Amino acid sequence: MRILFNEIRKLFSVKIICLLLLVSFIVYQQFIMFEFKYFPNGRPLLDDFRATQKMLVDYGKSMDNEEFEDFKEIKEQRIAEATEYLKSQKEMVAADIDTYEEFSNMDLENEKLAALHSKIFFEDSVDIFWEIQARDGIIDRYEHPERFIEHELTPKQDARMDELVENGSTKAIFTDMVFDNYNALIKFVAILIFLNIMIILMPLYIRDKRNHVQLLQYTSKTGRKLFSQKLVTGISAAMIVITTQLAFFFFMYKGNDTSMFYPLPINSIFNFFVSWYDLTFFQYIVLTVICVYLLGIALVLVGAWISSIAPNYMTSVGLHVPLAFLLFGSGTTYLVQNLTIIYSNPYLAPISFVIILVLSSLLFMWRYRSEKVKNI
Amino acid sequence: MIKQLEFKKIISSPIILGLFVLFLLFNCFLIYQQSTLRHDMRSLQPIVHETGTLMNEEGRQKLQTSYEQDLNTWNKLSQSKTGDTYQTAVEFYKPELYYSLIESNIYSKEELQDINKLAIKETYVNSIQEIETKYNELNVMENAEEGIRLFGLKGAAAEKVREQYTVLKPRVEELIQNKEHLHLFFHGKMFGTHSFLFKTLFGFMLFQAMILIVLFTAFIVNYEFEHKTSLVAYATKRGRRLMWDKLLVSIFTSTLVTVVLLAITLFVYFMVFDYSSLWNVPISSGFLIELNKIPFISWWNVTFIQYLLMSCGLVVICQILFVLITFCLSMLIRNSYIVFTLFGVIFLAGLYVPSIIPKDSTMLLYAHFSPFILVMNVKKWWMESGVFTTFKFYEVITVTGWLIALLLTAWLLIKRFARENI
Amino acid sequence: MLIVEDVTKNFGQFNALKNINLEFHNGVYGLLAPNGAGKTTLIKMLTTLLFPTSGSIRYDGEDIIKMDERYREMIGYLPQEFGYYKNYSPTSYLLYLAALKGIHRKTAIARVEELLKTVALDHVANKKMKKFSGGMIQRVGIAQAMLNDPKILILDEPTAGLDPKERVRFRNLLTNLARDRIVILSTHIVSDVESIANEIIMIKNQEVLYKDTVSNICGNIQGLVYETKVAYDETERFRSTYLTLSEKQENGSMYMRFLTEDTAKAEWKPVHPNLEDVFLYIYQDGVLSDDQTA
Repeated sequence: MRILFNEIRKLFSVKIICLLLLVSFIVYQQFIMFEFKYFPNGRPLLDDFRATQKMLVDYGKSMDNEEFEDFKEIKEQRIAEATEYLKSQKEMVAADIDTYEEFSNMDLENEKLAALHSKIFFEDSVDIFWEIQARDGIIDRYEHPERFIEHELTPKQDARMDELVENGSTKAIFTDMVFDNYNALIKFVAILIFLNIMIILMPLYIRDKRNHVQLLQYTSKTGRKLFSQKLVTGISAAMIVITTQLAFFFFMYKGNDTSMFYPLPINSIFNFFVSWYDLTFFQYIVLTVICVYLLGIALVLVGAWISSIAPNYMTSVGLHVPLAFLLFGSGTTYLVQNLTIIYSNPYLAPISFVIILVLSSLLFMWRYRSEKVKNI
Repeated sequence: MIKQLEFKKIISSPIILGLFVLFLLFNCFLIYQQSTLRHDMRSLQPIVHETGTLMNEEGRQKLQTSYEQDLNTWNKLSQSKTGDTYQTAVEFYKPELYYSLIESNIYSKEELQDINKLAIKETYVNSIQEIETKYNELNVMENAEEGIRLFGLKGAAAEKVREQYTVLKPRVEELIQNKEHLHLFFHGKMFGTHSFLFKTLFGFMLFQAMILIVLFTAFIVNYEFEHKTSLVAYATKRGRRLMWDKLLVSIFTSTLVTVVLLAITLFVYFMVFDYSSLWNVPISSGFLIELNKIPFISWWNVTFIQYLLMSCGLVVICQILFVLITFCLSMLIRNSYIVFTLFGVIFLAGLYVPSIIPKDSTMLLYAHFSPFILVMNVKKWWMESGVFTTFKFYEVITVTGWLIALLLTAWLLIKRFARENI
Repeated sequence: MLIVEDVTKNFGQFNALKNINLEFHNGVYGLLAPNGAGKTTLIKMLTTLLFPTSGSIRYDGEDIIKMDERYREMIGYLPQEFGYYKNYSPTSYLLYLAALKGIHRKTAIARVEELLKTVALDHVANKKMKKFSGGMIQRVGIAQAMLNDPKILILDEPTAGLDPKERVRFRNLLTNLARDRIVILSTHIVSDVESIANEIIMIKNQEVLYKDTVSNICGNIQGLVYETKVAYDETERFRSTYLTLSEKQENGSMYMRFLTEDTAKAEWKPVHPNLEDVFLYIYQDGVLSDDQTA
């Protein structure tokens, strides 16, 4: 335990912590804050979000046909309100636009009319008009569940789609806005975490090796067992980093105010993502978190291996380059972002994880064994 | 002699060579992925041989005639086979007819290739008018206003942008006068060659070279400290001036790495894609316009080959800037992997800085004069490139300014190092 | 009792040591050989950093590699060049190593304090080692070797960087320690071991040449060492005729100490050979240069 503590203290030197903070700050500013600041990103997405929230409050987890009628009814009301609004605007009346119908069929090629149109939307940004647009979008998607019903996929995928239609996914309330936003965020957060782990673990073995501290370490009672203890150190350090980063991230994510979506199933007519399993949004989040931890552990194993074989930092960083390329690219795309997606094999992710973890463990074990009998 | 030995330190490390080969393989893979387009692209060659690249009245007439002839030939064939005739080649591909035709195997493979070629030729024919109209209606000031509105620029910044676009305006007129836009080139909307070559490939090559360069520069500068030879090395006759050798060797090696990387990758690219009769087509050709419909307006009338060489040159100079940045960092920080990480942080910070500058300050525009932003946008080098970077000498000013500033910094740091306690 | 039996060590084609047989009891052993003779290789094998190509090293009858941590628990080792963390103070550095040596934390704190006093570093116990002189670092190294009160203390060039006063202190310390433990001292500085070593081990041509007391070893060249006065212009010829061991100038002529098996001349004054004479005699032909062991 004391050795572990000592080793961890060596990894988290003040200099490194400053570096991590700097990297985190810049990555947050450059990639992550955007998704917080602009969520929902503009209009009518904002109105779409509001309408979805209202749907949830009014109808619960799903919207049956009756409730859908009600939903359309509200839209009609809004249209009536919009018409009233138009009537109250002199320039609109002057232009002979005094119903919503006329407004929506306006000839936008006509410059004068186009100016009026954009005045309503952009200058005055009248909420009702945006809301009608958003509601139209929702109605359109609800009325067109073809994506679930008509498809030519593998028999297994077809069966899953049928099952989803059966258990009411086409009526379930959810929104891809929230889902896509989370997916975009978690990818960047995962990349940031992996970057942090790489920075921290870089000196794990190289430092003592280059320093000749190894001579003293390997002749102490602990001896070459230290090699595996350092791995435990690496994993602990990674856990600390992952947990801290995720805690901070979810603290920030709370600001997106999506908590009401947590208990909802992600399979919905309003979400383009279709999962092999009946997951709620919360379960999906938990799943991504688990995968970040697993990938983090695999990265520690590979990173530790690199640190133990590289003769100098240049080689170590150089070996990390292709690793980062794979991990930040397809690694996060398939093993953090698109988990359980119906368009890829359901076993792809679990098998990948098993292979990655087994291979990286083997790599490390092999190194540990040779270290045991190595002439220093 | 010293320089040779320093150079040897770099190339004798297997990781640099290994990464270099890996990067080359990756670039070849990218080209391979794109290579499905090569046959369709090649069908431009016979057209150019027939009509030349310039589509003025005469060229256009030739192309039209040739196209009509081909269409006639095809119609004779199709009439004999199915009794159908086509107004245009695209009609052949209408889904209602196409699939049944294919399934019934009426046409041989060669014949299908013919109609494909014809359809491509047709696209070129049809595009000419489109391009001509587009350029005649082109108003760069409107584009400027659009950009100003989009990015919410105000006050002095917006004024500055308008000013720059006013400078661009006569160039657009000249471009149209010269008929630069009417030269045949690989159809941008079909092949997107400009984006692939100058965005994807050049982008990757820039980053690949940058990674290698930052790695070995940080390595070589602090080599003596890492190998505990600093006391010996800096007490010799050459002494602290060894840093100059290290800097020069880094710059030399960076140039070598970049040139070889560019040379091999581009060689493969041009082996796969046949540009033979298009080297001298102006880069501002309207045919280059891609799906986003934004025309390429270069500041000067340069041909494709000139543009390519200019861009290669700029890539090399950019890498020298990166050498200098890394060198300066390494003079301050002795740990090479922290230098590497900090370089990354600085790179991202360079991209981030403009977003914190007020939208009405011209500083916002000047903040774009950085090598980091420069290398993110190879595709639009030497051209109209959006509101932030459309300055006639944007590229030149950026690299010269930074080169001077960094050389000065490096010089100061070496001076400082000469008096530093080791 | 530590026994080295038939140990051979090869690095690929290169043969570093062959058929080494040694026995260590409590006391100080001086391992004396020029650089590159295989001293460090032997020491690294005694500390389990290198593994013998053949043969075995046993402590109380048990193979040290099999004993694993039970063996390492008993050794203290000061390498020729040892690493330390610049930003650590000697206290935190020693506590770190104490943890690796499996010493209980409370015991360790007291022990570190005590040892820093012993090596006269208590006044800088909490200063960063960044600014330490070579001698101070070396004393930290000596302290770390003694942390676990080792049964076997192995020191590779321990006096490097120590000033004469510190050397004396250090020798006394070792004599004290050696009463109930094995102390193995590798050096090429003869005076370091001459006075305190119970036995001297000399290695030549990858083999053990002597393992004996100082006087016995010196006895081997008894009667062959002389001193004489030589005129300046004669010195060159004299040097090429005899093996000169040392020379000094005095009153316009040269006093030569030399070794020869010729019959003594009248002006030659026979003297008692010392260890240095033996050393020079044995290693006269091949002056090995690089340390090829690490």
